[in-house]
Amino acid sequence: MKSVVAEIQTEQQPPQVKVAALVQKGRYDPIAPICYVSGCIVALFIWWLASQSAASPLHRFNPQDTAVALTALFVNARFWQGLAESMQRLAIGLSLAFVVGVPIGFAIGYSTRAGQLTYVPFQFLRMISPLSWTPVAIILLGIGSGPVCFLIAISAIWPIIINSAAGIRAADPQWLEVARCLGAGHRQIIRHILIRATLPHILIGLQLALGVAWIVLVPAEMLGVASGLGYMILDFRDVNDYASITALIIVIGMLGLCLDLPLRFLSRKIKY
Amino acid sequence: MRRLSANNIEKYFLQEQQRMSALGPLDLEISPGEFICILGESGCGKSTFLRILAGLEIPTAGNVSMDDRPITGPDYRRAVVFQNPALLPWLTVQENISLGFKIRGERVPKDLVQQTIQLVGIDGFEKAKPKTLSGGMAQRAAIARALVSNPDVLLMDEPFGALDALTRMRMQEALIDIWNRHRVTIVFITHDIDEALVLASRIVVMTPRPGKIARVFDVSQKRSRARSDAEFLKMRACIADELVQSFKESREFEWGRMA
Ligand SMILES: Nc1ncnc2c1ncn2[C@@H]1O[C@H](COP(=O)(O)OP(=O)(O)OP(=O)(O)O)[C@@H](O)[C@H]1O
Ligand SMILES: [Mg+2]
Repeated sequence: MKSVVAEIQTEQQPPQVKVAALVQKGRYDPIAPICYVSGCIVALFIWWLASQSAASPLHRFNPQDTAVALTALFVNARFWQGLAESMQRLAIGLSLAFVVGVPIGFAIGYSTRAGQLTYVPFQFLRMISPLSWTPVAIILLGIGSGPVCFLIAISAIWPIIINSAAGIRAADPQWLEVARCLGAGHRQIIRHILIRATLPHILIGLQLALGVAWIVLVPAEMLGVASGLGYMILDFRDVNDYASITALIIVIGMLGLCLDLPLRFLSRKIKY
Repeated sequence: MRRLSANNIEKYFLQEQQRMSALGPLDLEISPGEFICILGESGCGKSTFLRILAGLEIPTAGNVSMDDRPITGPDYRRAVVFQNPALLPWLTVQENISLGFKIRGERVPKDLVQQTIQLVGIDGFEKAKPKTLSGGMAQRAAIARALVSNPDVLLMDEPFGALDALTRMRMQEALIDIWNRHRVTIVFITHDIDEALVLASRIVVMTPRPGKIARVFDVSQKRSRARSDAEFLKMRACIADELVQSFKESREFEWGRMA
């Protein structure tokens, strides 16, 4: 306990005031929705413009064909099955990263020694591209969903560890003193103070983890499984169905966006 | 009612790799049910002493005990009001005040919580988040958090510092009332001589660097707490003299050392 407190005291930083936050805080901004929508329209227009000429390399990936392929995709049972499978792998990988990562992050934030012990190995592991584990994962876990979940977990665990540790360090040492004076031991401090105090940081970690996990999911499914969104992209390539590839890419992007939204919302609610 | 005693305690802090003596050697016996006020200039070690009594800080030398049992860590029967409110920002005022019961796994006595909120005069803000409170209101919530557990010892570090004169007097009355009814042992740090005179049964004046006791004034026999009372004024002048004296001595000591 003592060591955290000492460390926190030396690492306390002045609060940063963001000018943008000050300007917009709590004020209704009627222009914002217009900006969000126009941004999308402009992006679509650029895509359309760039793919219209028959000479354009993007011609085969034009929005009109993509829209048609998209509607076909939505009535394709295999697509929904693949999607479900991808989501399942994502959920398993992320849960694994969360369950292992948060306690490790807490330990690192709580004890200086744990931080020192894990620093070099973790920095080393963190810098390895998750996909380079593929052969190892396949040898260890066999062909199937196992390696994909593993790759997701190993890429998602680092932001979770780092942010959980940062959350513990950001907890005001006085909150701990208050709790101790009210009769709290280590367990109560963790339960009543540290978990709640670090929740916003953990959510940020989860948001970042989801980002990398979603990015890693697709290439991971291109290596060694026969289902899921990543596999379907390869499948469509083999039959030269460019419009469906583009449609899948759009779906993947949209899903990533949608997955981030609830976390962002929760993040805002839970901030203190 | 609990007896607190500090025997020959000293506290050193490491500042820029140097051992700096912040407190002591200091001896103080606090009888059960006493109301001690500690006066002394800023930085003379008052908070450090209080934190040692709370068990938040371990003295470098000497020992502190409550009822002859050494104080080795915090104890909820010794409630602490810190120099700043230190409310948990994610809890409402009410939840902050009930926190002790939750932590100890006790049932939250809702009526008592509400009474305490009314006692410190922040009713109407039960559901407010600390961020939306004024400094004085936050401090009163922190006082309520300490009072609500019915502690045997109250350790208060400039608790009324952020309050306006009127609220301050009201809070002083409330505190005297609590002290009279429950005979809590109170250690109360203040910068205000008048406040010390109104509240205390004993006033301890400290000198800085390192913090030592300069003089102890017994004011338990004072007949009246009226601020215009002759005896009150005499005592006031005496304490002011002592403060000025200790201030001068500490400065002369420093200047002498520099020369
Ligand atoms: N954690 C710490 N590390 C190093 N030095 C400290 C620490 N806490 C207190 N000190 C030093 O101990 C001395 C006494 O501090 P303390 O907070 O007890 O003073 P105080 O009498 O409460 O002052 P104030 O009236 O301004 O609150 C100061 O010189 C301070 O610099
Ligand atoms: Mg102080």
